[in-house]
Amino acid sequence: MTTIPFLEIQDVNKCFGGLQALANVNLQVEEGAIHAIIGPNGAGKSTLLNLIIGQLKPDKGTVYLGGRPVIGVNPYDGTRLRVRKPSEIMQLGLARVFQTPQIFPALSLAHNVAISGLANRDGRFSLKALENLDSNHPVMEEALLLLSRMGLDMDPETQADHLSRGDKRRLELAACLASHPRLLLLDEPTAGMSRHDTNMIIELLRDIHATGMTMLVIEHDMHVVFSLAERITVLAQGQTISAGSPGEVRADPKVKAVYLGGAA
Amino acid sequence: MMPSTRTFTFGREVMLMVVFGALVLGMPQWLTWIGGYEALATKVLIWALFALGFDILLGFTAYLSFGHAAFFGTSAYVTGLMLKHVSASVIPAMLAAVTVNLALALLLGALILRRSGIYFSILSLAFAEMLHAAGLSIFAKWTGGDNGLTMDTKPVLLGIPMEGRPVFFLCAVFVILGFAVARQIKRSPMGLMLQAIKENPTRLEYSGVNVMAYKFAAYVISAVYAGVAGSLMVIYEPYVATKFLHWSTSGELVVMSVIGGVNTLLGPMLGAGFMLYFENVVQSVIGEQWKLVLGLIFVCIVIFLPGGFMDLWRRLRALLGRAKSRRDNVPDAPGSIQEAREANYAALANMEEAS
Repeated sequence: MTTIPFLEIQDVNKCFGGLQALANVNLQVEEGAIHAIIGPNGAGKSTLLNLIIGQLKPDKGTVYLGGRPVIGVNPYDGTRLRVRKPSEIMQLGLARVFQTPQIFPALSLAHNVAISGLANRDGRFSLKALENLDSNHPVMEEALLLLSRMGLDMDPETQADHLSRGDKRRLELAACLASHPRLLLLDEPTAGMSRHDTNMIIELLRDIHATGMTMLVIEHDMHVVFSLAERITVLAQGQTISAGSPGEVRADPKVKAVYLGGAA
Repeated sequence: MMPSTRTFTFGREVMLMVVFGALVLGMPQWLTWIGGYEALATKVLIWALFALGFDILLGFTAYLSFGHAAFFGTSAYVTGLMLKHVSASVIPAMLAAVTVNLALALLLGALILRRSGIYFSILSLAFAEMLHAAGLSIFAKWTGGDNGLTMDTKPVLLGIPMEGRPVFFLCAVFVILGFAVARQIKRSPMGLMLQAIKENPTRLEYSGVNVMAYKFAAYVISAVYAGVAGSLMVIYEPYVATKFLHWSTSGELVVMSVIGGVNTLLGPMLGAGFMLYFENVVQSVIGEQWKLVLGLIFVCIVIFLPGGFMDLWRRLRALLGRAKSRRDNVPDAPGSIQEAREANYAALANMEEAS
């Protein structure tokens, strides 16, 4: 029996004016895998990510989440699927890490994480105004646990914008995990970080993966990609030029030609 | 910002509310000690309630409405019309006013909450000004136009004529209740969501939260507070001035909030008290220049004390070493992480030496 991949992208096309950003892209992210999308600048990586989270609408093709068509064209009758807000799509089991860590700067670390926990528990909106969100609250307890799991051992009441960039990334990851996602989307998780911080984040992502988390990583840094990914899809000019295990991709002459340019 | 991990204790909250209630109920007394008069206390409470509700919108979500006069004024007119034409009883008048306000908030919110920042402010101002213009023109038959809505009705609540002390107590009840509710919202999951809107709406949306719905909730709640305040204003003084709908009313509200300290709940109420005290008491002492002095104070606060009166309080406490200021609460302070990093660095240095 084969398991249904949590995320499946089928024949997705996207044009910006005359520019074909994505041309018939197919992608399947297997449950429990770390899947990386790589490619040179302008390959369509970010466009693909923005399609998955519902920020962009595909011209053609369908994005499936959990086996269900969610974005783009309904494959059964060819009509367009209802446009969903990002929050609706995230509620289907996605969590996202941004290129620049996105946190709530003036809120405490504990609150930063608790927000995702509450969104996971209560859905997109609830008028829960009678509970007291203090340290005895189950969501807060989990938040504190996740903070220490991510190696943020400082006072959980520390204001989030006092953190270093690497620690902000940890905080963002803690918040993502609090929403108990089935798929974690990582958009260049180590962008702008020192080698030391990069390695720490790689370690952390491995730890998270060890708990069975599925991840889709978009990354420039080959060091990160080859230390993490189990499957790699290579995009160039909006097309998939290669896909497979790190070894296969590394050996593919097309990848060398496109990605490494003159080195081939 | 409230500490997030402090354990909530009912006893402490009750204590706090008792102190607050005593201060509010004792206001007619202590206001005379500082040169005020009894009736001023009622007016202060009405504006305090207005400002308190406004803090749920401006303080929590940072949506700066320049049109809250729309709610205050509309509610005042509805209350006035009810008292004049339907019944002198306060209860149906207030209920009608709040209902109309709720409908107005739903309508305006649906239109203007789609925009944020300056666009939201301008839109809210535009709609309030339209209502003001409508009150002076197409609705002039009911509102009395420039003369305002006059009536010779004496409002009554359960047989008690609403004059002097009873009005004050009615307002005090609403302020104390309103403060308790606002505090509860602030420490609840919903309050956290509202505060997160101000911090990073994108992250909030991508956390799976319907940002628009929470904005809407804050807007409607603040409109209800404004509605109750507007209604109380007419019960206190059975007359509705067109000024209640005028932008200057919204402007005063914003000034009160800023000098008191937004997102502190107590601050805007202090600001309201300060403004009215200045307008009514200090004016009689220093005369015509009072507006100039008030302007100067406002400028000084914005420049030197951007957190308003509550910031002053916080700084004083920090100075006295009573409570640790959040500003000093830097990540390295707890020590643990700093030590870990130093150990890390030492290990690295050793490795380099060895190699």
